[in-house]
Amino acid sequence: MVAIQKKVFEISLLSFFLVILSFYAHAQDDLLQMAQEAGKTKDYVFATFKDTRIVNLQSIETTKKNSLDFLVQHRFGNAGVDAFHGLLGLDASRDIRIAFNYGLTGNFDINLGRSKMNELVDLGFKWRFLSQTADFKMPVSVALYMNCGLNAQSDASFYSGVTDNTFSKRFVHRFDYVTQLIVASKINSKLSLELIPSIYHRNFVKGALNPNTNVADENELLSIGGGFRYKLTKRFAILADYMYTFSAYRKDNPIFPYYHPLSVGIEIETGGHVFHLYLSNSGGIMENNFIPNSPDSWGNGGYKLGFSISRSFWLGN
Amino acid sequence: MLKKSVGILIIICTLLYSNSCTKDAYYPDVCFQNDILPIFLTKCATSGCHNSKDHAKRIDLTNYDGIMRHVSPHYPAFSSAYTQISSGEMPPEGYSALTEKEINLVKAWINMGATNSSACSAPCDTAIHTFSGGVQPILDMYCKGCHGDQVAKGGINFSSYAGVNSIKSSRLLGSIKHLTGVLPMPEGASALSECQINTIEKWVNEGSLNN
Repeated sequence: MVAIQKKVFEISLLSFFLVILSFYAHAQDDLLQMAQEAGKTKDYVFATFKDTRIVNLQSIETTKKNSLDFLVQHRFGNAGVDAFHGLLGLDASRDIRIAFNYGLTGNFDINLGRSKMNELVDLGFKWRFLSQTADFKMPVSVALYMNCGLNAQSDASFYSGVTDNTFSKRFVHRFDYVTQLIVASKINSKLSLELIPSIYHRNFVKGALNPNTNVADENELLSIGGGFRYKLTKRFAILADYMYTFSAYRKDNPIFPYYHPLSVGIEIETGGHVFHLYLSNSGGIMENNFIPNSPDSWGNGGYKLGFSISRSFWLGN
Repeated sequence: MLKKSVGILIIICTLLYSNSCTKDAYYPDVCFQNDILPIFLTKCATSGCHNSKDHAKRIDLTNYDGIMRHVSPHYPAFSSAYTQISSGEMPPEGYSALTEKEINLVKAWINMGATNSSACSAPCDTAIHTFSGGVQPILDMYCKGCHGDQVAKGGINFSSYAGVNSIKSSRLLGSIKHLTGVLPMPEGASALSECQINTIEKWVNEGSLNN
């Protein structure tokens, strides 16, 4: 009986994904048809954002077709706490991510990265299946972002705190998944807005219960994120994003403090390069790290400096 | 052509995604015999209800096997033992209801796989605060994964007394107590229990001896 229920649950989950996928495919067909009917006069909005990320959150942009981007991202320690002895937290780097992004088509890229935090290896893709048109007949661009993360820590680290010797350790425990729908709109030449509903699933969670309510850490975390980019001059823009996670476990938890990640940054464009410099209270760079775990608050000096540098290699003809 | 292959790629990814997707959890402070069974005994198996004598609706909630007939491990939403109490349908009016904490505890136990666990959390007694008896076991369990012979992150190695003693005690205590200015540890996990922190603090206060 129980097995049947579980099977039904899994099948319904799978069919849910497939239905969504077929809807996407259908929507794209429609768009293609519309584009063909209208001839080549259709103007799509470009450069809603300048990079594949706003600060923490994914932006609507994908890597250019046939371009391989090599990316090094840094997140340092708490700037407000280690101001003098840690040189604004630069001595205590929290996360470093080395990644490759490759643009398969103009609207689809694949990403592979490795982070210091939790020794996370992430493989994902972003697919922009709807593009905003300049005449606002289609007011938004919409993309699907999915990744699968692998926590590559040693068994002793990954299962630290598991006191029960009979607990069966399985390799699939190490996987986690991010699924996000990215809805963005370029309001005018200066302002771009974005909204990201997100589901994060971990195959395995561990930890003490919230002592106030006995609520346990959740395998699924639902979040909603928002962000914007405001262009001040031709080469200079300000960025901000925020992600709110719905979690009863993380609410008022004295042994597991959680502050929803808020990031602000500046973007400087220097002829072919986009340079991001920002402050954020989250320590992790990837969604797989900052959604479940963000223990520092802006109020306690828990903001961290971060920047990313990238280099593009052209692999096309 | 390219669009087609991208579509196929996505479907393959989705299939992989949903097949490797599973749900498991470990909460050190949930124990069937100590925490869960007493709830069912006092709130559900009272006289005239779901006990082995009265068998109200042929349901017996006085033992593990009886409870497991109404539990689907890892899936609280499919477990009537949980849905009946979380929706407030059970216990019926006039009987003492379960507290929110009790309901959440049952949910956590089902999430964890609903095992018949008896001796769960590592015993912690602040009276035993010697290095070998009190401190070392805690460090072994929670810290040595990253700060041991194999990895030694940040150059910190807790596998011997010398390694532990080389860390400033204010830094060690600050980390486990999540004070500002030091990295909160264990990283990305809930803090050690109050009893475990007190054990280490007592050992530090007595001079961090190798005893």
